[in-house]
Amino acid sequence: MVRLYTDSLHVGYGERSIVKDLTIEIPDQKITTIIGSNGCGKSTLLKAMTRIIPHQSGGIVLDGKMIAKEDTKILAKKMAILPQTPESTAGLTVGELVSYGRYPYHKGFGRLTQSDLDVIHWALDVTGTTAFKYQPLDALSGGQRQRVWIAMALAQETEMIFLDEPTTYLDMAHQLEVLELLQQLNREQGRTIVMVLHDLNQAARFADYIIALKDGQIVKTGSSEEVICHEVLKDVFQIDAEISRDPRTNKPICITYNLLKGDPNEKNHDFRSSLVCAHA
Amino acid sequence: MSNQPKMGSFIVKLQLAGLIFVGSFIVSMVFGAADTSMHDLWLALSSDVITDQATIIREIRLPREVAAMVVGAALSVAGAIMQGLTRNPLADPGLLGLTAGANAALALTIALLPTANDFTITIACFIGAAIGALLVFSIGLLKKGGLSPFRIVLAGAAVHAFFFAIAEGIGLYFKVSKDVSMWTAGGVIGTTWSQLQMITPFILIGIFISLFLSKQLTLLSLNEEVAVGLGQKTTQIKSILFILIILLTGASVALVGNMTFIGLMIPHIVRGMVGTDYRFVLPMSAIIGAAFMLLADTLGRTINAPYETPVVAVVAVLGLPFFLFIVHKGGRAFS
Repeated sequence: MVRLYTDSLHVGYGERSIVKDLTIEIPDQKITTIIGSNGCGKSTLLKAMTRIIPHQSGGIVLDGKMIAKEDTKILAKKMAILPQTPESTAGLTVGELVSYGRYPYHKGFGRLTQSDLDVIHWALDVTGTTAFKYQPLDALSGGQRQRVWIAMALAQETEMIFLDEPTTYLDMAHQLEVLELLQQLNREQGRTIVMVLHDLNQAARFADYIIALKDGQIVKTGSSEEVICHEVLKDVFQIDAEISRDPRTNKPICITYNLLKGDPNEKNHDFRSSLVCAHA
Repeated sequence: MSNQPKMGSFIVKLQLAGLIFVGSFIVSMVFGAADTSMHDLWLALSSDVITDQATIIREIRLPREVAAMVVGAALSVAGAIMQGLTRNPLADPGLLGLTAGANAALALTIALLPTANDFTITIACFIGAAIGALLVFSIGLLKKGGLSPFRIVLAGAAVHAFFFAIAEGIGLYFKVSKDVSMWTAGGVIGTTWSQLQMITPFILIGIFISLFLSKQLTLLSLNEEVAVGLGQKTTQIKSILFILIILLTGASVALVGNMTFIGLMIPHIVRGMVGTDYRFVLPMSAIIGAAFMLLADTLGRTINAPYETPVVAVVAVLGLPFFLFIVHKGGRAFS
């Protein structure tokens, strides 16, 4: 059973439509990654699915209900979202920020109950941020901060977690740390993870399901083997990519690539339907 | 839990601020053009004795300083809410055209309805403040890129000048300049108990609701997407906060006229004391804002006694350098 899907979804700002007639299913308890070039609508899709921005037509359905009509607090108990680089943190301590994750469970002033405290404690623990509990968030490094934001999302106790480029601005080690944490949450607790990633090799390595977008439309969906291949990358990014296998994970990796020359205005839509991937 | 140590130190700081406030109140009551002592103050507040000094305190100084208090608190809280809501360190009800809008509405009301009572004038001020705010925000949003701190201050300056000109024009045309400036330049001079009875409830209710929403405001000031993701009804919360700003600013103008910089200055000072969590910033801004206005008005009354220096001028003299300081720091004093 698929809990979350979109049906002929259209999202746009003013006149400009960003996501066009998109019908996708988000597989349950899997890691789904959305890839695509800048401005292809991946962040917009993520924001629309989490009701951060409204959609013009079509539907987003979670557990059989249109999210546009669902109470936002009920949704907050089902899906957590980590936007791109949340800026200022108002001098909050790590513990305080994470405790905001309990917000959907409170009314008005709502004091934290013992079970809230237990959840917060667990969220700090599993993200390895317990040591910073009393420190202001601004005092931490980028990687630590990102883990704290993930801890806040975890404190929300949702089965789905959406992340918009969670590895941006992090160095290589911290990028891996964040992705491994998400993988662990998925494998050990069966949480559904949906994220936008820029790095194709990270997408290939961690995703169970990849959605490749171009101009707000689907180019290809499927496993890393099905999506990270020469033909799809050619269509999505206009690159000529050399795809090989990661000797450690056996996932496809893009070793090197060139920009494709030729007329960039030429749009060959028939080509898309005839895509065949070498590794499929 | 994580909040406890911070909450404890906050309560200590709040008590200290309370002491400063009480001190400011006593100073404002005792000092002035007429010679009064602590003993007179005690008599005035605790007994029915009628002496010249006690009457001066009861009927002239007390209403005036109560006005200073509530206006200081109202504008400081309004400024803090605006800064949180717009994530703009330069937000201030005066700088963003709200007080000028209320002021113009006040002038218009006095001109067209010479018999208007305090209630009518207060309502007119609410409407004027709302129009001023809407104008500034829509000018700020006209161009893509939205409400950058400096663009909104520019829009505020333009709207401020516009409404100021309107108020002047109305004053000259209808020959009500004197009545209008009684309100606008007079500051808290001549505030009566009946005016206070009319306007103070708006301010107290406004501040009370603001305190109740302070946690929501912190969440909103962090990041709007995070707030939505956590299930906050952001449109609803933002609308209520917007109405609160109008309420607090409009009521202040109805009481004392145009007053700039308080809403900018006080929240900045308060953040230095209690951090940037609005659960702490709002109550502290109310107390420090009240104390500040008491002292500013006392300074205005005594600096050149027996002549009055308008409190607006005192505040502006202190506020302008502060504004330039924040601009110089590029708003970084904000966090």
